[in-house]
Parts: sequence; structure tokens; C-alpha cells
Amino acid sequence: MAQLTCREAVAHGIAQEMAADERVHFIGEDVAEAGGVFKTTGGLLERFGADRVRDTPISEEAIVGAVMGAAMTGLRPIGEIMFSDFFATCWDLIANQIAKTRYMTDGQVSLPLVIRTANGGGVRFGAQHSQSVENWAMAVPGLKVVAPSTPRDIVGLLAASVRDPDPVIFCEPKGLYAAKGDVPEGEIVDELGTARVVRQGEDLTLVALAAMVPRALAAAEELAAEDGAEATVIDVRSLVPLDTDTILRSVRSTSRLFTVEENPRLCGWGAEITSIVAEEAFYDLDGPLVRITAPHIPLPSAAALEDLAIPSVARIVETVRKHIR
Amino acid sequence: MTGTFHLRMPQLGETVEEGTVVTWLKGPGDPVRVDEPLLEVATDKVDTEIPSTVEGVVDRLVAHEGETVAVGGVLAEILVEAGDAAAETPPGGTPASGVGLDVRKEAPETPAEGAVVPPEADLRLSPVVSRLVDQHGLDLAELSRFSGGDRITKKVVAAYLDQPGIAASGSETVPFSRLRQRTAEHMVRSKTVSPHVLSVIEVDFENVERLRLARRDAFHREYGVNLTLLPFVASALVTALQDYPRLNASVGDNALVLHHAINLAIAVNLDAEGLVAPVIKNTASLPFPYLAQGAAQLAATAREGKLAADDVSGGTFTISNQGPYGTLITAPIINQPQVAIVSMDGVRKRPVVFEYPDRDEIAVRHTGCLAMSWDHRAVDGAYAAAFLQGVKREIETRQWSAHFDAPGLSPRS
Repeated sequence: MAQLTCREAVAHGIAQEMAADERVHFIGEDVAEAGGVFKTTGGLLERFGADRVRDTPISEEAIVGAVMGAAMTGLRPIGEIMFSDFFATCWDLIANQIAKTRYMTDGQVSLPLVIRTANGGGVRFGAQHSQSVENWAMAVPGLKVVAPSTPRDIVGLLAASVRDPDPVIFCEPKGLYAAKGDVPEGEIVDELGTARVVRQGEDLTLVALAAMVPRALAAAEELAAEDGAEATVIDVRSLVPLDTDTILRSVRSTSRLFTVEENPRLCGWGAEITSIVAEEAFYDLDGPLVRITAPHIPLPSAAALEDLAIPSVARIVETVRKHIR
Repeated sequence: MTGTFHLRMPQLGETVEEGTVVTWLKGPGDPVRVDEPLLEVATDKVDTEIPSTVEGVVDRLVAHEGETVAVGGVLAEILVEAGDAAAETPPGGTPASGVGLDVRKEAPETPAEGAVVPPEADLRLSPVVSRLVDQHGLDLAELSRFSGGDRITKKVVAAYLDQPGIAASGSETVPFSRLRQRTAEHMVRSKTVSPHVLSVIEVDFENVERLRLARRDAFHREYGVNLTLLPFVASALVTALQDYPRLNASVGDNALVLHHAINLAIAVNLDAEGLVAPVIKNTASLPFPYLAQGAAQLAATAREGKLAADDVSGGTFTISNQGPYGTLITAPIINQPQVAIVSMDGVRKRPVVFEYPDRDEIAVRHTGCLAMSWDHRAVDGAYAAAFLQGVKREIETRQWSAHFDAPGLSPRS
């Protein structure tokens, strides 16, 4: 068992997959020589060579286009979009080409590609470099969307994404790149579409994603200590496919649901989940379904302001407390 | 405008259930203020004064000196301003307070028997509480009092149900449908009337099963029904019954009534609602394919709830198919006024020993049990066993393919 940071886990995961399958290639801006601007991809060029690990020009369209072409012609490519905010510049290729190719070719062409990206805020990069855009991808049919929260899940879910026959948008929480966690030895391959219950409690269910998972856990501890309220915390991990079973089973038991979302208020993944719960577990609910999100604003760069915007442990505790009288 | 306030015996101690009026300190017509002592009361624990909790005029002394009154019983009637009169607490009051009779400012809704909803109670029901109240038949006013006027949450309902003496904690009462009632009554009656004995025989279904699998698709195309093991067993039963007519009978007045026709009833399971056994009339005269078809159609009609009275009457022997559930043996209950019922259970591959003159061999064959419950008034064990042996022989040795190659022929025409 090793203790890796999330950033080390990224390199570890990519290396695991590139070692397992020759068809896996990796391209992105400053990923090779420099080992990634977030230092997430160091050592890969040295280990796998310039043919399989390449630096690209500063063009997201070129990166995505190349990855698409490679996938169409027999490779299993991984492309990096340095900041997930930049998806906006290559969204046509992702939403209109990659997402729709399998469907429009009636399955003749499938695209086993992964686009991994540094997502989310909390590191003072400002409005255009801190967005949580997993929801943009969730809304496009034909894309799988994954957002791990721990080093082990980064390795396991990246492996699952690479081995998946369909395009996967792999959102890494840049705010957690320095966070450490246990990663077992040996090959780790997880399963898309499975959520993980990271804490059991019978009074309420907290559903969280990516960087919000550790905050939800901390809030759960405080609620247990101060209010005697035991929370189940679920790490969603995969938005598409979505593990509705785990979430519904928990809500049917606790009868209370709160989501913790880093994204701005409107149309986040939490809106989708609460909607599903309202439809399928209505008669099990003991209170309103509450979403704890960032307000619907561009994220500030000032530290104090960014901390006010992104749901904090204190805000999670306070909101839950208010609702579970 | 005046109203009447009923002053009730408070609970003067945790275990105190009654008190005896010692002395009235006021009489009818006397004015009384809040907290002014009105009477002296003795219990086995304390002697105490009971004050009035309202301001008004004493109207009637309901309890006499020397009379013992239970907690909550009316002691006196006091004329008060209208608002105060309406706001009585229910009998029983609040155990904790010594006097325990709060006069509320607002008049609540007309109380249900014994239960008054606290006036400022939060009566909003969440979906889960709504469902639980429905499911357990709970009284909202009771629940609201139990939760002290706070919003009734799932936890409150659970705590309420947990109280000793509250029935239905951990269970839900599901009333019987009429069919369920009839089924239940029949089952009890059948066991009371007939002394049931169970005889079981193992049958090798391998030949039948091979044929069934081979002919299944063509059969479905031609007759529109799935070919299961049921018609094979049914047909074998019918043949054997012709040699053992005492099992196709009813018990009369110290007599056995042998029925000429064999009308085979097929037990059909209607989910949790109950059982019904539609009848194939004159089963012996039906060619095999029509027997299979008839059985399947009757079962389908039964599941749609469309059986006519005629369809379920006149049966002389019943077959019940537990095979799909994979059970080993079932001891069925006789379908009155018949004297026997056969259950066919799971058929699966088992190792079977074949004996030859010079050696024994093990083969893998489809086998299953036929279990017959029979009425010991009608026949005895040897007869029943011989009958089952006859059924077994039919299944194992009949040329079943003849039914398929020349449709319209029954084996004994």
C-alpha cells in the first residue's frame, strides 16, 4: 500500500494503462517534457517515449480532434484539456462529433477515448480557470462523465475509463491534487457507474462529488458530534452512468437528502439527482430535498470570496442543521 | 358571554390514579380566581389543596365530599368567559405538573374522542409520515400530541409505534381479499374433513423432457401455447385414474361416490391473492395437444380474472404444478369434495443408477417427485402407492411421440 497524492495518482493511473495496452497514447499541452502544469504527468515521456506521449500546440481543438481521429483509427487515446474551462473552445468537437459518432454511424465507429481535465476551483485561479464543468458534459447524450475524489479512485476510474469503449470525460479535482490517500499495490481497475458509500448514518444522506466529498465527510463528523445526527455520505464518482440504486436505497432508509455541489446553483448534477429521488422515492421523504451549491456567479479569485462561494464545511453543517430539526 | 369550564382531578403523583374529595372550600355561586384553592383532596400519598385554574363563578359541585374520583374525572363546573371554557385539556391532563390544567387562549377544532390537537401544532405531513400514518392506521391528533405539537417526523412515528401497548409496531395489517378469504376457509375445511396422507414417488422425466424440448417450438407454432411438463403428467394421471377409480371420487354418506368422468382441475396461483382451480371437463376424451392447450388457456383466463362459475366446478381430481419454483416435494391440500391431489415439483438433472445384469451404471437424467395428498377415508396406502406407480410407469414408458406425430390420437382410443 502506497500513500500517493492525487497528482501522483494521475501519473500512476496513466502509466498503468499505457503499460497494459500499447494502443494507449497520451497528448496534451506541456504534458510530456514539463510533466504537466499541475505536475500530474511527470515521468511518462521518459517511460513510454515520444511516440506515445506528446506535447501539443496550444489548441484544444487540435487536441480533441487528434484524439478523436486516433480513436477512430484503432488507438485508445487519452487527451488532456489543461483547465476544464477550456472545453468551451473545443466543445463542438466533443458535443457534436465525439458524442454523436457512435449513434450516427449505428455503432460502426466507436470512440474509446478519454479526455482528462483539471476541474473545479478552490485554488484562486479566478472565474475562467476554476469552473466545475462536469455538468456541461452530463447534459450531452453520448458522453460518459467521471469525477473521482481520492487517489485510489483516480487510478481505478481512469483505468475503467480507458478500457471503456465510449468517450469519457474524466474530471480531476484540481483543488485536491495535493491531497493524499492510500493506493494499493498492483493493478487497480474500478467500475464506472458505481457510487461509493464512504460513511454510514441513519439520519440523513449527503451526496457529494469530487472536492466536495472530503467536505461532506467533515461536515458529517461535526453533525454527529454536535447535533447527534448521523449522516450517510455518498461519493457519486460517476455522473454518467449514474448509480441511482445506491442513492435511492440510502434515501429510502434515511428519508433526507442533501447534495453538496461545487458547481453554480442552476442545473448542477444535484438538480438531476434530487429530481430522480423526488420521482422515485417521494413517499419515503421526511423533508425537502436540499441542494448545497455555490451561488450562481462566476467564481471570485480573492481567497476569502472564493471560500464564501464554494460550499464550506461550515455552510454544509449549517444548512443541514437548519433542515433536520 | 359565559361558558362552562370543567375542573378535573389532576394527577397528583406519578403513580396516583385517583383522589378522594375531603372538603369543598367553595360552593355554588361563589366567585373564584385563578390559583385560588377550591377543594381539599386526599390520595394515598398526599393530602393537598386543588386550586381553580380559571377565573369565574362556581356553578355546580359535581363530586361530593367523600367521593373518590379518578384522575381526569370532573370535580366541579365553573362558569367562565366563553373563550376560557372551550379550551379544556383532555382527561388525563399532563402527569408532570401538580395541577396540570392549562387554559389555552385559543379554541382548537372540535376534539375527537379523547384527543385534542395542540393549537399551535405543526400538522404538515411529509410524504413518508403520510404513508406511515396510512399504513398503520394512526390518529393524527394522537401523534401530534405525542410529538408535543412539533412537526411529526419519521422518528416521531417510529417512537410512537415503539411504545408498549401500541399495536402494529413492526407489522402492517393487510386485509384479506375475498378470494384470499375463500381460499383460507377452504383450506381449513379441507384439512378438517379429510385425513390427509402424503405419498411421494420419484419419476424419471428424461424421455419426456427430451421430447418436450425437441417438439416445443413446433407445438407452439401449431397450438399457440407453451409446452410444459404439466400436460404430460396430467395425461399420465388421467390414464392411471382409469385403473384406480377410487381416487377419482368423493366421500359420501359412509360411501365412496365414484365419478365416471375424469374432470381434471389445474391449480393456478394468482400471486398473493389466492388459488383457483379451473377444470378441464372430460379430460380422458381430450387428445394430448388439446389437453395441453386447454390447461394453458384455463390458466391464462384464471390470471385475467375471467373464469366463469362453470369453469371451477365439477372437478374430480386436482394437479398443482410447483415445478417452476424448484421445490422438492409439496404436500398439497385436497380440493374438496375430491379425495386426492397431486403436486408436481421441480424437475432437474440428477445422477441416476441404472441396473444391468452384470453391472450398475450412473447416468444423468431429469428427475422429479410427484407428491400426492390423499384422503384416508377413501383409500389406503397400498392403493395410493400403486396408483402413483401407474402414473410413473405411464410417464416413463409411454410412447409420447405418438401424440405429436399423429395429432388427434389419444393413447387409449
